[in-house]
Amino acid sequence: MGDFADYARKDFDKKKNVVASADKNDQKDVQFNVEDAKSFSAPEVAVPDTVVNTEVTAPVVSTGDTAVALGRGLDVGTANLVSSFQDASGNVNLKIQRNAFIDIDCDDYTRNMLTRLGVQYVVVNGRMVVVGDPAFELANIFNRNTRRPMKEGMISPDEADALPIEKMLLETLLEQPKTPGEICYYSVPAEPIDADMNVVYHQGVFGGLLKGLGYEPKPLVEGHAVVFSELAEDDFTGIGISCGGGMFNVCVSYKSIPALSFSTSRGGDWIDRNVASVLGISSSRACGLKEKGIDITNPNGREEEAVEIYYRNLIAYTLKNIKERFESSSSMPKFPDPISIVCAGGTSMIGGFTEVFKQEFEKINFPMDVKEIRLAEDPLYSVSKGCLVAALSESV
Amino acid sequence: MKPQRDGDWMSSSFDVPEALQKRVSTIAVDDLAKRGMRTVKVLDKAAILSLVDEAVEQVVATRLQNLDTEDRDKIREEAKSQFKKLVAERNSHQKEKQQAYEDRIENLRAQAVSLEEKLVQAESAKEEFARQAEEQTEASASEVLNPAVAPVPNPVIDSDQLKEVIKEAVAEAKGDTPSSSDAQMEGLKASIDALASKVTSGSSSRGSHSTGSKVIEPPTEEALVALFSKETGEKIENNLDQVEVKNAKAGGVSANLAKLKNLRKETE
Ligand SMILES: Nc1ncnc2c1ncn2[C@@H]1O[C@H](COP(=O)(O)OP(=O)(O)OP(=O)(O)O)[C@@H](O)[C@H]1O
Ligand SMILES: [Mg+2]
Repeated sequence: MGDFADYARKDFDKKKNVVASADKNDQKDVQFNVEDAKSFSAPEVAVPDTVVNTEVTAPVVSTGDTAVALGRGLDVGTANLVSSFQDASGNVNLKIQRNAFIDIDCDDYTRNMLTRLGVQYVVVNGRMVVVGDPAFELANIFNRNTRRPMKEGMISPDEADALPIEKMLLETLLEQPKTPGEICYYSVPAEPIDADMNVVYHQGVFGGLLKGLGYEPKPLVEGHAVVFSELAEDDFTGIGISCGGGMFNVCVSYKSIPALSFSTSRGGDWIDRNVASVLGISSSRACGLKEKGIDITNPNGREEEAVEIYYRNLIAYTLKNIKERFESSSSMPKFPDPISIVCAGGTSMIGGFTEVFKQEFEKINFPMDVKEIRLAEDPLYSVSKGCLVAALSESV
Repeated sequence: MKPQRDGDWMSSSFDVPEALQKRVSTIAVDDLAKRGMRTVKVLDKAAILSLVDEAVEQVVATRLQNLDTEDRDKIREEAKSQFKKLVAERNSHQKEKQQAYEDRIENLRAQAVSLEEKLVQAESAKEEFARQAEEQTEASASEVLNPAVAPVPNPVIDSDQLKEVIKEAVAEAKGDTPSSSDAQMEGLKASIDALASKVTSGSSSRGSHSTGSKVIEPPTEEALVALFSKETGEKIENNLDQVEVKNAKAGGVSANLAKLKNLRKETE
């Protein structure tokens, strides 16, 4: 597939040039599709508050026994990869893969064993690489850590095997496009404010991978995706926060147009690392502790207290950053009505998350009127669904 | 010197193992069995060599007894000069090795210096770039629409290639060098490695918002292209299509879609 390499290279060049030549009036953004966003845009136009209840039918392609709508969503996350499409009856179907792997010695016995056990593998450089959830189980058996193709929201530069593995994982999640050049919106981190990372490179890599699979890739910043999936009733106005494994992604949106979006490199992994270090346990144990179903409004014992402390810290840090960025920005639209804050992502799924979020919110003088702070309907699938909404809306 | 079987036994050498090797023939055990042989007597190489040694010693001992003084002196002289010749040969060989080794160290040192210069260049380019980026960011009207900052042009240094060269050099130089300088060599190698990685990782960077200390450096564009071309080459073995991926269903997005399309229509 020379096509793939070419695309990635061109895409990379193009973005590098866009970025390098961007002058102050040139409102081009490499992180989400501004042309598309602009077409929604006209803040001065009053939008009547009518609720649209006509079912919109997206263009449908019939392939044999199943008919699905054109357009795909893909959440490219540090911890999870989630693809989505809309089936004939209007349901959203998702496929989920843990974005992790582990490599083991390659032989016929292992090969057969893994297939029989229903464990997925890929052979890379003569080693068998087990991907997805079973990688965690095997890591425990072998007392090793899983390897992660991504780190803090981006493709990991330290992981040489990351690319072939991500490609494989995407193939299992997306299959072939229904028509050549089917649109696939994929999530990318917004500009990180506390780390020096190359979003352009990351975006180019996944754009290239998707192009290689036959899709027309379109990036969407993760917080914006949360807005698309959770804030329809507010006319896509409000704050969407994706609380992920590698980072938090924030998007302040006005009528579907992002007014402010950024990311921080603290997320679930950050909590795991810190809890692990204060308790003197491994990060994966800390993660298990965190996910086992505790309530951070009512922590039980030293271990759960450690989790609560870092959750509070992370939420306060996020709120403080929204406030600072909002206040320092000169181009904030006026929000005439109180807004909603919606949290999505795996890290928001801990017991008591919204309560603690509200408590921390009360502690700072937040610059916007907020009417509601709530969790997304499907926190783990919210970003993918938002990408799907964007893709369906453009697939005519 | 060609192995000789007879002639002047002092000034020639005879390679017994090689001679043995030349004369042995290999027969499959099955063939032997076909010829009706059920047991085989085995004489191993060490046994043969020690037999040869014994025989030679005996011959030499008896011959020496029969030599007159003149012959004995002659033999002693020959032995002496042969020995001297060998020592001289060995010394000059050693000298060559030493010279090659020193050349290599010199070479590595020169590489280190040039790397250091490139690093300084890269760093000042980076600073300059960060300064420009800062200006752009400040001047920009909208934060959201302000694009990320492009990587600084990279100095063309392939650190992997460099490391490979160094590794080879070290391995080669190590072969026959006095062991006291191994440590020196290792130290040099380590510092060049460190320098090389510093140059690679320091060579591209986004400038504007590095408020934190955490810096994750992307690979260079060359590395990116290399990765892609590696990826396209081979077909990767896997069983991914034989195993079901975790599935889920979620609430529909029709309402969102309708809202979005409506909003877009109204603003057109
Ligand atoms: N029930 C739970 N309670 C607390 N944390 C959870 C729970 N389930 C998952 N997590 C955490 O959520 C994180 C993964 O969330 P998610 O899948 O949204 O991240 P991601 O999108 O892959 O990462 P990112 O967006 O940062 O790149 C992990 O840190 C995981 O430990
Ligand atoms: Mg995410």
